[in-house]
Amino acid sequence: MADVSAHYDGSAPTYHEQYDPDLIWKNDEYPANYFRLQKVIDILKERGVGSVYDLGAGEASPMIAIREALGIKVCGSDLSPEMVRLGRNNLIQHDMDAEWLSEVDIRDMEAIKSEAARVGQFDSVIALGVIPHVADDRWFVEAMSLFLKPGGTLILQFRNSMFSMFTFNRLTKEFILEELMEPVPDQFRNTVEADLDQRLAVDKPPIRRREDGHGYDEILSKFNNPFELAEVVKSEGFTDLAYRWYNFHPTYPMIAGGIDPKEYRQAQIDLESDTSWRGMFLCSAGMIIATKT
Amino acid sequence: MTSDAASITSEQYQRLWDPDLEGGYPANHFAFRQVLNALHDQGANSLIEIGVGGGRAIPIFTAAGLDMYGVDIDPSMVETSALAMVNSGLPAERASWADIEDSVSLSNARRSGPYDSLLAMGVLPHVGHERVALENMYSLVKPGGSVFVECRNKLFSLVTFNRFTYEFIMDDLLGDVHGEVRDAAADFLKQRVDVDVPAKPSGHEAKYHNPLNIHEMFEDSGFVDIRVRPFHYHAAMPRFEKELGAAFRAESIALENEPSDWKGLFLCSAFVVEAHRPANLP
Repeated sequence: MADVSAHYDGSAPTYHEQYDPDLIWKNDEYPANYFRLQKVIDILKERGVGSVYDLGAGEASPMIAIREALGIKVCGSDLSPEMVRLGRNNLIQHDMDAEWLSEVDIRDMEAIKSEAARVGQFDSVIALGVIPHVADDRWFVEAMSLFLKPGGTLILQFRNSMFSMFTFNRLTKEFILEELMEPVPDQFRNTVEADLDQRLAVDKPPIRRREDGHGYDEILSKFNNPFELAEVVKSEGFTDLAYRWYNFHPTYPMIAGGIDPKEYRQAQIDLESDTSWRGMFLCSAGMIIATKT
Repeated sequence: MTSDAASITSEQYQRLWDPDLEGGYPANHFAFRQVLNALHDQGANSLIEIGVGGGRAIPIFTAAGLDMYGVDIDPSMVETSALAMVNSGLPAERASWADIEDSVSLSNARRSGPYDSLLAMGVLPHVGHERVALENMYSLVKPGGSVFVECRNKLFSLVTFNRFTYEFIMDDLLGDVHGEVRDAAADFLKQRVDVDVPAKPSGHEAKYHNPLNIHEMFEDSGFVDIRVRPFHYHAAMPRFEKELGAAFRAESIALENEPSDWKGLFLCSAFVVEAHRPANLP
């Protein structure tokens, strides 16, 4: 498995582009994280949050956007040295303190505890695009809690495994056979597998690789089952859980290339305002919002 | 007054695994297991069944100590269930005619109530006005009482790959997607699911409900503490039931005990909604 830090070091120079509103219609890749950040800011505003810790802050674009939108204290950390170097420069350019961003590896328990002791507790802790790269979900939620005051708001992003119930591809097959049908005998799974192979595009999606060997699908970048992740969050002392979904797909990703790009992107953006249950199946990512008891 | 008979004999229990069992898969048995435990925990003494039908639930709940009443919209079913009442040691009058969508017709049932709990299997999929039916159910139970209402599960369609899959995706998931994007999705799906299976019924088709938002309908009718209890598991797609034979039933029955709290949302064709009338409201 390739190194997560190396992946993000390589992504750092262009990472800010995904949050640039001027590129919403120009970027080849759908700017899902732009909409994610807007939703995070809305949630923080609705809850009257006065301070935020961003666990996995990248090159600080979300920290700066939250600060500019809400005028509140924002601190954070990231494991990628290059992200932190660029992030500190970005903070200075936006009249923020470079010390608000630290280099910390979430997988290092002692380092996380030390950082929490240094910065104290916040009204909210956000972790966007981090848990896909962490093997131990329970530790990760516990780590988030270290930075959070009682009554504070957790915003935990995850890659949504339920999206595979919609995609009709390899991920659908894996989800049905390995998760849903995990308790049934092989005879049943073999029968179903033969059927699914006829219906699903099991050769898709392609693996996302990078020349340096640190592509997104070459590092640990796991999906989470929203029901199971919610149970982990509850077990770590959180209540009032809710889901928010983003990165909507108005049709099957594998056929999107045959549709007028502008019409397709408009359909995607139109769905982003939906707050119903549908996102559990139409969205490749989601967030759990919860309150610390 | 309750029966001292057992709710199920050893022979009847063994026959649950019989693929030739009359009536098909014994789905209600697995729903009743959950309902009985909940009623026991709630300390319920009286129960009214809406859609009492042939009265199959009467000996089960009566033997468990519940004082049982029942109504049905079909007069011939009332006659059958009246006989079941008598066989369980209860007066025949415990079964009466009523339409759950018409509160006037429920007067007989109201006189005997209010009840600690209410059971409605196979009713909500067939009512015209769900809100009216649920409000009438609410009025039949005591403050603090509970209802157990069966629904057909829309999310099951995500694993059936048939007409229900097509309808769920195009209507429920992509209902407000238009133009070229919608057409592309429809064309794609038609090639990959059996859109003609099962055939559309010539008359009324039962309603399906979504366990992810069913709480809204119950909340609108005044209920609180709403819980979804899936049942009628499928160890594979229904189309493989014949091919896999007796093993299909055995593995499906085994799944009725699976503990995940979420797999049933997709592997079960039905669920019971448990909901409560607030204890502190009139």
